[in-house]
Amino acid sequence: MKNPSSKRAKKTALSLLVLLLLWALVVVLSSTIGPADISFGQCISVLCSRMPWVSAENVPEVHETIIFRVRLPRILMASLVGASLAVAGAVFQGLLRNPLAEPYILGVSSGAAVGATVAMVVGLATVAGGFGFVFVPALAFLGALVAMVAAYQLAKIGRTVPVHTLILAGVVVNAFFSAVVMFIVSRAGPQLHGIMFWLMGNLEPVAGTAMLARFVVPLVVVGFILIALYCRDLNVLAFGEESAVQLGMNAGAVKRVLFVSASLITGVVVAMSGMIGFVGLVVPHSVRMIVGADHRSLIPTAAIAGASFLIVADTVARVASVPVGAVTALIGCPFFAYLLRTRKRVMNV
Amino acid sequence: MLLNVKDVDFSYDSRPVLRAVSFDLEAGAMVGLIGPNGSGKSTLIKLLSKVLRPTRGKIRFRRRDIADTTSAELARHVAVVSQEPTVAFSFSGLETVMAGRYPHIGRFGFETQRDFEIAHRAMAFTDTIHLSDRRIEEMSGGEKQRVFLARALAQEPELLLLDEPTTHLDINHQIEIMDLIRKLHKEQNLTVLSVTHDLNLAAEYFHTLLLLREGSLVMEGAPSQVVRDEVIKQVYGADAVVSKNPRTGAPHLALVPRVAPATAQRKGVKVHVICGGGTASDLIRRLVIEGYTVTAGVLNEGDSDHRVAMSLADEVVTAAPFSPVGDEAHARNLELARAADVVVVSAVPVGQGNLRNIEAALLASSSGVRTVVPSSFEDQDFTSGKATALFNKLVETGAQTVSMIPEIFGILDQINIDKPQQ
Repeated sequence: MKNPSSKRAKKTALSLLVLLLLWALVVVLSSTIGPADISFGQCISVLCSRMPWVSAENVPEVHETIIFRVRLPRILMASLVGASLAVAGAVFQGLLRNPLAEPYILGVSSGAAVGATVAMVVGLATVAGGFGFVFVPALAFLGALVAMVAAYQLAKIGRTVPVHTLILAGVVVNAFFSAVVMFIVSRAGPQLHGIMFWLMGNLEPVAGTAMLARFVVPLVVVGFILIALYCRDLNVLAFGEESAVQLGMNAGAVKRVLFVSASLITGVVVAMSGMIGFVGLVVPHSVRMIVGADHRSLIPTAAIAGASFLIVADTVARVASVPVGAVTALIGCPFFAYLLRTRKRVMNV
Repeated sequence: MLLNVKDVDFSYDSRPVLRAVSFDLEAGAMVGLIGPNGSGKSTLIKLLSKVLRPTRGKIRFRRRDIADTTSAELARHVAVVSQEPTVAFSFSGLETVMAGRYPHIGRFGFETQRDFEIAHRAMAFTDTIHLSDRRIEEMSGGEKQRVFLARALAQEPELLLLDEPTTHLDINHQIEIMDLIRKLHKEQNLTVLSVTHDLNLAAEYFHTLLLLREGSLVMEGAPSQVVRDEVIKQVYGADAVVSKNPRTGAPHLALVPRVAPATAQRKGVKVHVICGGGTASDLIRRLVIEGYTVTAGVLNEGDSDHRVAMSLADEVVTAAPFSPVGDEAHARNLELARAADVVVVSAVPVGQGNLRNIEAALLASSSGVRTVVPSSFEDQDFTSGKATALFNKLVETGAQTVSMIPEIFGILDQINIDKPQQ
């Protein structure tokens, strides 16, 4: 008798390996793209020059600067944000048992944007000599949580969250928090342009990004660890909350942990990169087709696939000089429309 | 004692759903929970599985209040299968069954070979191994329910709670699932408590029935004590005839439709039916449903037409079982036939005993009552020609011949036109 868990584990490991290699390839390829002409080979040697066991060949210093100071930070930031949004999307879909749940559509990103905007405009970020930057992700997380709770309370009918009420709740929450953001931003004065650009989803490092990342990265890691511990619970929640209780779950507590974790990773990456929509929709659905619905496979693969997805989208955004949020929306909206039409086949809700 | 429910009340908001429900469940019991819609059956299952908490009273599993146990602890002893389980994502059969191991695996634990073996055994028992890799949404209702039974079995429970497990299934799958539940009860020593609204299935499969009405437990007992005409009438407000399933001897319920007087537009048109041996049961039923006033005679007690006529017709002239038609009965039969607008003679086999019924039809026909007879009657004649002679006379005196029931209604429709309603 063959243990199917090990079969699944092998399949997941293989998918993870392939996706990791793909991610590495995307990182290198994206590093070659930009105004300064750096070839694939040159890029590889620049990257290898930093590795301890590879002797640095004659690498032009300007290439090194461009890759390590300009392109790579942005690529790594895209990886972090893409992975977080994809995982948050997968968690929201599992929690709400709804295929169209996604941080941006739910209005969670808008809520986070309100929190982050408040921190920036009020000037909290600059207090206490850089340490004040912690207020940006902290308030963004708070905003995300408030928006999440609001959307959930609006959308649920009894114990279920039907597709149509979820979308309507998202519209309402989004409209409200967007209005609040506009209100705050209109009073921002000289910061206006920067904040507007950030709002539309921007992965270009600005002054303070590095500082912000010091707080964001550990928080995302905490969120990921919590979610990883609750992947099996997400599987059981797919049978409905009542069944989950009958299968022995303390469903209320589990749901709270997962809602908070997903809001945390959404909130803190929004603080860094603004509102980038649809990553949490496109990536989990695509990955689910390959590795299946088991969240223990889905969540890690979605993270890596999300990283690659957002690097590609951001590379397009860089080349076209548009906010990356516009690129992901151009890909995500048709995808959303497709899911809306076929949701009965995708999910039995 | 496995389960002890004591004085349990439950209200949704302030609407009381269950009132002072008390019962015990012994280990190894096979109990059906019945009652009209809204009587609180499903709510009781939710209380027993800790999805809801009682507003008053205690539920004890093995002497321990379930309020003091964790959900996981309870789920290692009590499993639930609901009426139409849904899954949000397309999990496979095996993934679904493995979810039954959830209460046995800790937060930091992994599924072991042993967990898988238990799931595999559960699937073998429910004959679902071939569904291991099939997506849940690609399964039929019966297959899905068997997979969910396997999931429950993978919990290694002592008590299996079922909430209308066969409601959304075709009849063949209903039997399949109920047989499987009985097999689980016998071979896995599971104690079973199942909500069902199908009283026939309940009477067939359960040793004890609990009857709920408006949130109160009104009766507890063997199926033969609970599934009775008067109980059904009182609790469900439905007219029912309880007989015995001829193959199993279990109480078997047949519902009797109420004929709504409002639809009886043909009231006033009297039809007298001369029949027997079940040849006119369908006809009588349809006549009554369409609103005709129906009389019948002479019928022997115990005849299947007699049973139908007794419950539906206005008047039935009755003879003792297997006795010939007596003078008194014949006279009354003739009176009814003459008073009718139409006399219908069914394809009844005619012997010496009931030959006088055909005479009555002939007398009515010759006194001007419209009469309908079957188009061929040689097969029915067991009187060496006497009956055939009477039939021929009937046709001569103007009786109309028909070969099928719809033709009779064609003739009756003409009468309706001829005889304007008052």
